[in-house]
Amino acid sequence: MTNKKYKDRLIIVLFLLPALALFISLIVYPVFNTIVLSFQSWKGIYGAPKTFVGIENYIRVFQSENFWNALLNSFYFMLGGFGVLLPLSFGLALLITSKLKGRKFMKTSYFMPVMLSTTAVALMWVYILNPSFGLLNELLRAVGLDVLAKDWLSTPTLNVWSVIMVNTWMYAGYNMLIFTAGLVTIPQELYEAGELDGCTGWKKIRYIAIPLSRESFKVFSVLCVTGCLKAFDLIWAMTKGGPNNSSEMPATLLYNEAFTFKNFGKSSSIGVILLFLGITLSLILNKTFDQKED
Amino acid sequence: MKKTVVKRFLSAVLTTVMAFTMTACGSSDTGEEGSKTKGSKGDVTISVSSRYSADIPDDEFYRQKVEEFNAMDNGITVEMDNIVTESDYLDKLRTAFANGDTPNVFIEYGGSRALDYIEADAIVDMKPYYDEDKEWYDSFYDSMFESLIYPEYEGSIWGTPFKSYVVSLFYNKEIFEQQGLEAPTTWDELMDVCEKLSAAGIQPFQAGEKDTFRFGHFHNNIIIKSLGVEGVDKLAERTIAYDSPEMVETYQKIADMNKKGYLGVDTLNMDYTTEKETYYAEGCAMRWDGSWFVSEVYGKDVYDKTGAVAFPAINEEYAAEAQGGASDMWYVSKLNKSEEEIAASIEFVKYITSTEYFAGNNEVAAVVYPVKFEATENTPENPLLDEVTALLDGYTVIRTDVQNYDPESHMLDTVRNALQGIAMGNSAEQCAKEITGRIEVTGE
Repeated sequence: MTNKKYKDRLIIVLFLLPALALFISLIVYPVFNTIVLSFQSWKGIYGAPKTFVGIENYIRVFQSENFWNALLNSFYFMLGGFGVLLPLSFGLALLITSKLKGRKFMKTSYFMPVMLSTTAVALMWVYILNPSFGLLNELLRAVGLDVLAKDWLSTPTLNVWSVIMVNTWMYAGYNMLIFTAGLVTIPQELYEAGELDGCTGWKKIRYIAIPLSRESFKVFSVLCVTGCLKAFDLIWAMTKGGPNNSSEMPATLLYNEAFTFKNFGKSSSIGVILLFLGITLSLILNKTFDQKED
Repeated sequence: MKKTVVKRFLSAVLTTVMAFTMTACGSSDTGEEGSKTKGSKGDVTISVSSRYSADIPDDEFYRQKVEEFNAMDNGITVEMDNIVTESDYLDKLRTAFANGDTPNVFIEYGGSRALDYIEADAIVDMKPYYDEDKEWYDSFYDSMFESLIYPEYEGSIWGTPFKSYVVSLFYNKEIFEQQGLEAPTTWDELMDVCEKLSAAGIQPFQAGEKDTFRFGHFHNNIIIKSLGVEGVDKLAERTIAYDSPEMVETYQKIADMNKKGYLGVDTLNMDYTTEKETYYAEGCAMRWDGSWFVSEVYGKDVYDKTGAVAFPAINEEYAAEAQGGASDMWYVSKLNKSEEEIAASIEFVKYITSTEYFAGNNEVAAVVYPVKFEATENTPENPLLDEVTALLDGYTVIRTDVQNYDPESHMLDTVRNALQGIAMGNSAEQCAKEITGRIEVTGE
């Protein structure tokens, strides 16, 4: 190897080293540690022995009704993400990239919930959704819709969907920006050319905006799927996975297994399963979008 | 060429700065909150974790006494870390034990909950210190050490009692008088009272089951009054199963009351604090609670209207048995702690569990204490506390949370979680199945 090539390679390595060190110490090492712990039994006290138990933790996870319920709740989150959040965010993005007056005001107001802390949002909505004195039920009763005034956070399944709607309210603005980034890159000439061919109104969105926003949809999909799998903060702040595990998510289950039931090995196995699911689903999504592009 | 060199230099600087900032983000915080450091003049700083951050006389007194301890010239500085909500407090404590950065002194509740710490050799055996200071040891009632002694660790005492309690049924005497009712002494009388109160449009109880210990305590008393403390032991030994007919009957009692609305409305959306506020506002006629409630209701308008009776008997044979005992205990951690820190921690624990502390506390926040002491002349009259103390004197045996005696430390959370399902409308059988399912999954 010539001196220059060696020097170049050395510079490359030196520049990569800090990022690599961070990557290894903050991602690779914890993941490796979690995988190792998933095959052990540990009560979570520093210095306490860790006993090798093989795949026993995984068997217990797959046999656990709570785990499958948590995955189902995660699936509901994905349904809410693709069924409600995606069209809403895309719609908002279309709105703020249009020629409507007040676009800047709209952009700021739609993004504002994202800037609030999750705990503050959760606390606010816990009170709004209180069945006795919450604003939502009071409004429903005021307009004679008493039958719709539910116990939003204590009724199984309904409580998950209530959190999904709060999540949608909170993150619509954030995802709006993802779609906006894609929409603004579409050349105006394409819309003009489309108009000449009779592509007007909704057809512009269907035949121009959506296909050319493929990358944004891809980014949204991957973020949505992985986000739904690891959803924790909002559900924890609003319901703590209860009552009685009814709104448990895989991440809250992981947390409870570790810190409530002191099964750090089983908790780690849930983490590994989530990691595997997240990577698999991300790869499938990437492949799906790439195939469509072809 | 010069531009390239400048570019490369800037890139290198930016990368290094980013790496340093990321490292700083990842480092643990041992500055403000942590202990483990020696200040100037050989001072030892220790961290003490508790739940005493509420604006109630009992907690305020504790914080004041810690500040007084810090003002002493003893070379010890205490940094308090108080979190009032039990679940948040325990989450933080368990996280601390997982990463090895534990407080020097902390509150826990004894029994199986502390067994994991003992098995991991993470806490100090207090027996040698009690042997050294007999006067301090003898100031405690013998029964207060019950949850700190384990047969598998004979000869050791693993903590120091700080608070004790007995669960009683508190009721609004005025409401009862208006309705022509007597305070119930048996379960049937309780059901009768609930029915009559409901018929009169008065909420019998208002449970704050968002905090799962509410049904937990209620259930403890049902078990003790139905099966006695021997039943508690049999549950721990699994000679009575959690899905046995007698246990299903205990869940059924709660399920029946819940179905009839006796336990309150929207119980799952109400926490313990709001439950108490409801009682203060006379929104319900009764509540079950530990004797700490006496110090909390003291001074409120409803105090003079509040009476206390024993939790109603279910099986007459066990009428003189109750839930109670030492509740909060101080433990001293030895995980990654120096000998100086341990010594300072012991000195703090001795100070905060001295008869002087409790006598002073008694002047502002009358509760049931784990020690014997003379009340000072400044101690105000507290008729409700006298009632509760009289009840305590009438019990032959008391036990704390039933699952504290269980060898599996998860059982307290498991049972409380399952009982919360009853508030959701689960049946007694579902509750039993959930508990036994969990026991099976943990591999017993």
